[in-house]
Amino acid sequence: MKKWLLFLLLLLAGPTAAGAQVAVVAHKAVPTDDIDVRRLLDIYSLEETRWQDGTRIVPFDLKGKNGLKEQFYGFIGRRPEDMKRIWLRLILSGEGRSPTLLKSSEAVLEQVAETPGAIGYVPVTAVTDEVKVIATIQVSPPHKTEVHRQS
Amino acid sequence: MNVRVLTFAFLTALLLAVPGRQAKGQVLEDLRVFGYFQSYFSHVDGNTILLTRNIPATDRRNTFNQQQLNLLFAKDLADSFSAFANVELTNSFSSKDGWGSVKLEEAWVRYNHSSALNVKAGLQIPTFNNLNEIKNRTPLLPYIFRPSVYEAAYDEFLPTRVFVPNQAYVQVYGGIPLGGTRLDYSVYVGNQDAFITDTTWVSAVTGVDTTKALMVGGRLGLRHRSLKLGVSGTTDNDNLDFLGLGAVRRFRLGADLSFTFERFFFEGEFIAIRYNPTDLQQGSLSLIAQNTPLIGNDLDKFFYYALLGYNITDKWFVYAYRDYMDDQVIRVLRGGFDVLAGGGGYKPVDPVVIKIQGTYTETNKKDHYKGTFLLIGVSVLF
Repeated sequence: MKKWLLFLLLLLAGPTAAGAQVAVVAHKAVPTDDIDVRRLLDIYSLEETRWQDGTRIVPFDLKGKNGLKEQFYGFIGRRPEDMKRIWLRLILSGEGRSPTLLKSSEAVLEQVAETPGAIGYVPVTAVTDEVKVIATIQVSPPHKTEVHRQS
Repeated sequence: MNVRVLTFAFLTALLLAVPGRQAKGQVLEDLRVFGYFQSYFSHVDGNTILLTRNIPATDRRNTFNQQQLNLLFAKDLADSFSAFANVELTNSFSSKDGWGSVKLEEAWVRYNHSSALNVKAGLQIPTFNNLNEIKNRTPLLPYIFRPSVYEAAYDEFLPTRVFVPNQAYVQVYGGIPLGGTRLDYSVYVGNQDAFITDTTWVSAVTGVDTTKALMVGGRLGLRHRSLKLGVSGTTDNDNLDFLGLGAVRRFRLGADLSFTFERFFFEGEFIAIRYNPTDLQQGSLSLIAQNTPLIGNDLDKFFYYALLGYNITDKWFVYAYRDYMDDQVIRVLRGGFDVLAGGGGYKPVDPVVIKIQGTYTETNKKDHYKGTFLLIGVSVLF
């Protein structure tokens, strides 16, 4: 009986443990090779609008509800709904505009590669040579998330 | 030509000047046009024993109202410069019927050096406590009727507008990271809200302040995660010509605290207003107060507000708030104007919020008013 229970638990935990690595990607000319949680939060909260060299930061986001999005915002300590409220206040006050929403990870990679100052997030497995990975978020079961900086 | 007709012509010209394709674009040159409105139905049940004392009056009615419509225009002019304009139409605006009003709330240009240094020039709503800047952004507010000093509807019969600064023209502001915390600051200068135009100054146009006094103010605050707190202050002159006092020096002091915890959200603030009349002005006021039952002998004012809300899901929320306003110079408000409100909302889609609110208001003096309001409204972002 115990063996069956263990097998069942492993079966349930397996896909979560194996999946869900999120890569934070940036345009290749962005003057940073790694980024921490606080800075990511500042960027996606539109508090920080420029890279160290003065280039404007252009954040991209994924449209709709999906696991990747939940994991990314969970990592920076916010829910997607919290972010919407933060952005709405800034938009209606004329202080900023929300990150551009894109339909897929492929679109995020394409836009990040083409747009100076861009930043976005995609599954690690989708990363291409056209962008720079500045952080990798490891989502471990059940809710523990770690970040691996690139340096 | 009628000012309202000119305003309408201006708005129409602005809207026609915007090609449709630009609304969702991403390049710098795009002019973004968007806005929001809020409509509500209200059932009012109030009774009052106002200044005539022994003649109670009942105020019972049902009505719809197009509370406000705001048209916003935003444009990035260059890498560091952006412009923003906000035109507000209130209370079922109709120039034909003489209802409501159109007001240019904001029109400014911003220079963004970094998140730590921004400069805004032009007509703007200054930073004061947490609510002042967003008091008219109905999609951000859970309630339909705002706390007393922020509610434009009360402003037609109570002097609520004087509690907060309403127009600055130059503001320097930003946020400086301090470890995991951020220090917010803002400093601004603008006109007094109800400035006295010197009629001997023949070349003055309407809407300009011909006095030497300006309004100067600012806010200093801290933010750590979702916790936000700060202190605000302004100094200016208040126009008390309606009491024959002229300009009286005024100081506003405010404090605000807001945070979220799990699915709870809290907001609170207070405002204290102190006047510094000259001996002559105080003497005149005392004389008026002795002879006029409507007027008190003191000009000071006080306000506080606290709200607790809970996001049941991403679409449903509930809240309750209390606010209290005390104005020593207006007799009916001397014992305080109390508001208790509660309600909730539902977002069928992100840009639409259906809101419901029950409000109980009461003044505490003999010349009292008690009223209940049931409000059902919709706030739409477009």
